Amino acid sequence: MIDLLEYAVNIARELGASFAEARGEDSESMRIEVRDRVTKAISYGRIKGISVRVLYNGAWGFSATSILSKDSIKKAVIEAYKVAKKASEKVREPVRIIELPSVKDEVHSDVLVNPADVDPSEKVKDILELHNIAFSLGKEVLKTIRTDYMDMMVIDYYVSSEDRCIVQERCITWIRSWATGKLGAIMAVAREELGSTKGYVIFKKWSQERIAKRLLDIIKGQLEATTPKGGSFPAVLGPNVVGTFVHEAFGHLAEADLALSGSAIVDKIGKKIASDYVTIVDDPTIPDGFGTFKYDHEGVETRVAVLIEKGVVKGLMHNRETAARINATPTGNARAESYDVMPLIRMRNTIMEKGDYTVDELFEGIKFGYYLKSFRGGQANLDGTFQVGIQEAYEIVNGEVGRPVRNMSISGNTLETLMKVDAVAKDFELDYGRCGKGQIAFVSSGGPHVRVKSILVGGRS
Amino acid sequence: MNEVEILDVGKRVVDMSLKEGASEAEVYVCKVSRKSIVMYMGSIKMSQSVSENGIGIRAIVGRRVGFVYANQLNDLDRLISKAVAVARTSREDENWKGLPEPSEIPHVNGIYVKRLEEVTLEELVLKMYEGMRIMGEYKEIVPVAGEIRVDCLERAIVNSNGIELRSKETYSVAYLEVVARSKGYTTPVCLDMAFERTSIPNMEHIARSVCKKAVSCLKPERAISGKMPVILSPIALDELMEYTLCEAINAENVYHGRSYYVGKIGENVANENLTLEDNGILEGGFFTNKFDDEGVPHSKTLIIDRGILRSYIADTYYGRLLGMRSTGNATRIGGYKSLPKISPTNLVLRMPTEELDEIIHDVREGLLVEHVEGAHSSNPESGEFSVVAAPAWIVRNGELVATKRVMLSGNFYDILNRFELMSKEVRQVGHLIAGYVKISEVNVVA
Repeated sequence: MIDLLEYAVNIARELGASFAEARGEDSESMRIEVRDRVTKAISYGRIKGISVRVLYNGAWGFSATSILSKDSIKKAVIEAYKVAKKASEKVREPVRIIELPSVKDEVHSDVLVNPADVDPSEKVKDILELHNIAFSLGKEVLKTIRTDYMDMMVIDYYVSSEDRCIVQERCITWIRSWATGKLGAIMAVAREELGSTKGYVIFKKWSQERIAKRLLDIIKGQLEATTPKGGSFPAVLGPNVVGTFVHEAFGHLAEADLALSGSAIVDKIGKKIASDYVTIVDDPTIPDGFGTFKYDHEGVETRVAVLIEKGVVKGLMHNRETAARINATPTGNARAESYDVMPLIRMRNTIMEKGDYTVDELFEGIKFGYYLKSFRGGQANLDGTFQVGIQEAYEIVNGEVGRPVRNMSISGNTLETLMKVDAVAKDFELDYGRCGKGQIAFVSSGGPHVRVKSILVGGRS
Repeated sequence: MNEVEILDVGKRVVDMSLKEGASEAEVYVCKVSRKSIVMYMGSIKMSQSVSENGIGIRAIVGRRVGFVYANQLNDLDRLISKAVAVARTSREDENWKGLPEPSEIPHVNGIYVKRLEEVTLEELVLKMYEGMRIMGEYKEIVPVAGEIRVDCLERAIVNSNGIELRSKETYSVAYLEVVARSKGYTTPVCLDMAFERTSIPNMEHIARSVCKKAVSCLKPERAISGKMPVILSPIALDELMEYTLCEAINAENVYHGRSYYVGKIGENVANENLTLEDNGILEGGFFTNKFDDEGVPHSKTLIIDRGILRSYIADTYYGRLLGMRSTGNATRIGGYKSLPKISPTNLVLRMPTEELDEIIHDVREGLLVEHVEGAHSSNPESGEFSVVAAPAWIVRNGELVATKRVMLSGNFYDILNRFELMSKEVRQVGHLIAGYVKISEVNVVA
């Protein structure tokens, strides 16, 4: 593969490209869908291909092929070069990129069990066991459960005209279960999403019993729950809600491509937008995080992107292009879903840093408020507003966790909410998920328990 | 391995799969070339071309179905043994009644042209420039985004029942999005697009149409709420239909009881002047082809005949479960990476027509809607929808007046009874071929 990539970059160089990079992918993946103890679909896929990206006079050209012959690669490079040249005739703002020194590196995945070596029947058996346990534990209430499983083992190759040559392995194992329960006329829905980069260890990390219990706890909580009072209340946010908030509500605003096209923080760099307790980073080094890798898909060494430090906006998440545009250090946030698409600025492991409080201390002194433990889904807008649905919430009464609450959502203005953080605990949890931005990226997010002076709570009865 | 004969690969893989222990096998082999130019905020942001081979194998062992795919046409031994292993691991599907049988394939025109297969990215850049030049003529217009895309697909489908088919197809799609700005007011995003099979869409034409639309959205007045006649553009109608009617006519949803039209064949479901046909062999149609993605001939299916529901659309599997034949609507949305699912081809709407000007002229107090947001939140089972209409215009005594975003809500299956008139000029937008449609009464909240 590397020789083909070098061949591609050399052709681009000879043609006169100011910069050229070639990426290769060699991957194997498996998907399994199980509904109510019935295997609905299993599929296996094998993908191999090369793409080349060429910069000429401030314009990009991109071409990809799965046909791994020199002829086809040469054709791809010429095509990318020609179109870059054509597009460069009318460029409003020529593209500049950060160039990097030469490097040669091979990064092996720290996978414990290669999922490609595990027989599909074993994976199916493990998922069925999750369903069997869930139905036996949740006899009275569980109506349906659906589990989607996916694993992939990928080798990424990268060669650039800067004489960078990188081979990097990565492995993703991901599982998501949806369960619905019913008691009388009340419906409840629970969702759990888990993952690992260490291979087929997912049920060692979280046993089927633990996942089933978790889903049923959420369902049972909702079924006996009260509904929220609308209005602003003090709240303690669990790590899962903090992670979602940090990713959805704040993270996207700090992706440099979105920030520079006018997100709510474009003019806030160096300014205080959150309380002193708030430090948010996108950290590519967290062990076993979905967004942990040494090089991104532009062949850039990843580094921690400090987004907010003690309340002050410090920086953004960059690719080579946005970093050059505002003279920042590239952070290695360029990720591509597969070889045949151009990398975009994506989050990796976006987290709020720990504080000094114990979790119990956060609840002390709250006469009435809410404990928001895990999220269902949400959305954030470029203008800085957000809505997040909560699947597991409790009342807080006189400093104690009280009755469960269902159909709860929180909304508001992200920056105002960050200002209202008045205590951060010293625990920490990391979550696993997928983020869509035209392409799917596997990301992690997380943080400690956090207290917010007041947050707008909505809901329906 | 450069000039691969995909039909031969298909035949070989079917044979190998049977030898490996499959009782039935189906192979989809394709060569794809995709070229696209993306414009963002007035600059060309991305120019990309992808050429890919792909293979998707459905291997069946008894009544167990396995699916594997790859984008390499070598190393097929390993892929085939995976396919059989996956099938053996899969559940026994008591409804499995076998792959489709071969049948006569219709002759269709206008699905491929060499010129599109050979188009270069540079030509497409020039086409985008043409659109950008027109947009530049309007001082109020800010280009937001746009794309021109040309795909060439060569596909072969071979199965162990004797289906051996091959075809070559070209597709071209383009769209432009703009806003108009004047005196501190920015209009909603206006969109126009075109779907072609044998030529590249005329970008000047799209640009002019979208710019005129956006400029006419300036100086908005407040609309009034209430029930009133609404004229929907084909773009808006296509969006609403995708998440309602298209789900209701899908045999998979019907079989699983998730369709509003379960048990309603022969019943009145729409205005008696409305006829809807799924025509997969329509000359010039964007989804016209000789056969679908499991090798069943494309055909014409009358879905609603003068208001009466006549048929669903089906693939082989769900067709059999409902006691009907496949209507040739099996589609692999993700190409070789996916199994066939039921999807419409070209949905042709027929209604009494008038010139659009005349339709508008006859409305005293109503709304004309070009585009809706949030159609995906519709409930396909009940038909309820609540969408934002933007851009939209008030129709006041036959004249158009711009308005700000308004809400439209109602039940799509109900309003099919109030489809009154359609403009004479029709076009294809997505799956739908229709004109502007006047609906006698829709709930509008301003």
